[in-house]
Amino acid sequence: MITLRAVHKHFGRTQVLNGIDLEIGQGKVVSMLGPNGSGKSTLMKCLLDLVHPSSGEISIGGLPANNVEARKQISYMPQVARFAENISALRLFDFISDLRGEHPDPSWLIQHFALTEHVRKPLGDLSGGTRQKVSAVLAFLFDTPIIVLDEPTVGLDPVSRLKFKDLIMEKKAAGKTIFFTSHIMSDVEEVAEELIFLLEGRVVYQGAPATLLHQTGQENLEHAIAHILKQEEA
Amino acid sequence: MRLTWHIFKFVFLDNLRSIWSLIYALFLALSTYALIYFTGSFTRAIVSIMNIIILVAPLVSSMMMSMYYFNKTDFLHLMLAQPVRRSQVFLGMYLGVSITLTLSVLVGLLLGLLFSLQQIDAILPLITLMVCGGFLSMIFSALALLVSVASKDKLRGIGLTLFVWLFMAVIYDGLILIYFIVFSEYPIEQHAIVLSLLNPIDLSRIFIMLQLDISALLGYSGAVFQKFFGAGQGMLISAVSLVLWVLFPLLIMLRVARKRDL
Repeated sequence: MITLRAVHKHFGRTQVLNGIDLEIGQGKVVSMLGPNGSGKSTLMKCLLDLVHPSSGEISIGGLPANNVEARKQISYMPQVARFAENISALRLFDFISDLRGEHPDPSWLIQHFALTEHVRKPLGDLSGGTRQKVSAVLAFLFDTPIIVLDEPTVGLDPVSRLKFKDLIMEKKAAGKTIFFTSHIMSDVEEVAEELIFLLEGRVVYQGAPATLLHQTGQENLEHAIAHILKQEEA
Repeated sequence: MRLTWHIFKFVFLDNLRSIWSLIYALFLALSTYALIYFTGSFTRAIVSIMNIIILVAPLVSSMMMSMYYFNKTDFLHLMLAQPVRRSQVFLGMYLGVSITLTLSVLVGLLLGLLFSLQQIDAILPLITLMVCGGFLSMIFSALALLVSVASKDKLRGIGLTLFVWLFMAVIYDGLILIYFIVFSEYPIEQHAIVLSLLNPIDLSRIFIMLQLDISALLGYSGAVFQKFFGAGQGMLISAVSLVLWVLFPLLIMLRVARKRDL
């Protein structure tokens, strides 16, 4: 589904991705972890063709990531949902639907995230959490095989977080691939079937969370991650 | 083209509803009205309004375009994550912002003029003023987006955009003056024409002055323009040059945006 082969990326003299080889299969919930500056955002931007790799190949469903058609297979939720300030969420849903050339009905998602009274207000008048929910609606609105989420639960209240995780499980059951980054380990533990741990632009671990716990001899993910980081420092 | 239209429409509506578009239009309306009302002479008022337009329209367009680009990074990423080409996104965004700015200039000038109908002697100079205000908004929006896309960060992008405006509005004229003084003994009349074609602000000034037919205010480049081409041909050449000034930065911007990491 998503394949990366020897992907390198440098910005000037700074090497950000250092030979990434990854394969993410269909119907999996995969979480990418790593400390700040480990290359998570750059890798995610490479998938969306926002950043061009210096070398290596990325394919999405068999198509090169820089092919416009590849992005038909991806729904994306950015980390910060600062879009147009003076336009309503309903108009934004219409706009993105126009760009994708498909017009699914967002009303069930609007109800799911309790957005009914907010969708007609200008986006600039909404709180950060509400805007994040608007962004979540966009991520789950289209029937794409891949859903890419950048820190999706940051800013969401506990109820919305639960609803968000329910949707992830629903999409997983429908055979969608979900690729997300998060610093909230409880969310990762709850939904991720596979972890990718990045450190200084390299993949230092790819596998099931349970295997990572077993390998590091730790009780939870937070401690397991800290264990890897200490090992790397030593 | 359909996707560019959707992007243009969305960005245009977002900007049109912004309070800044309204403030900008009201500022121009008030200045136009005040200048016509207090100056007494219609021609003198037009020259004063022109001086405001050729300085303010490029500055406001540059800043609004640059700020829009840097403040809407998340929105830009969201659009680019859809199955659309970069050129469609950037062209739609450029048109959305620049046409709102152009509209603000036109509405501002029109409102100011509507309140001063009794003092207006001729309509053609006013139309020329509006055309130039529109062109300057389109040109400096394109230049600002080019500089912003090519810059690595917000601070550098906005700083460079401001410098481009300062160079075209102030520094360029100073450099031309030095050039004319140094080479005053040589036949450099044709150079004057080329040099004024290379600056859209100078070009607009000549375009309006040729329309007003005030030789005393034409300045050196304008006088040479009139002498070489006559008012009609001079206006045609300056109009074509203004169109090229919109297209070139726009095409370079689209090329830079295609290769840029965002």
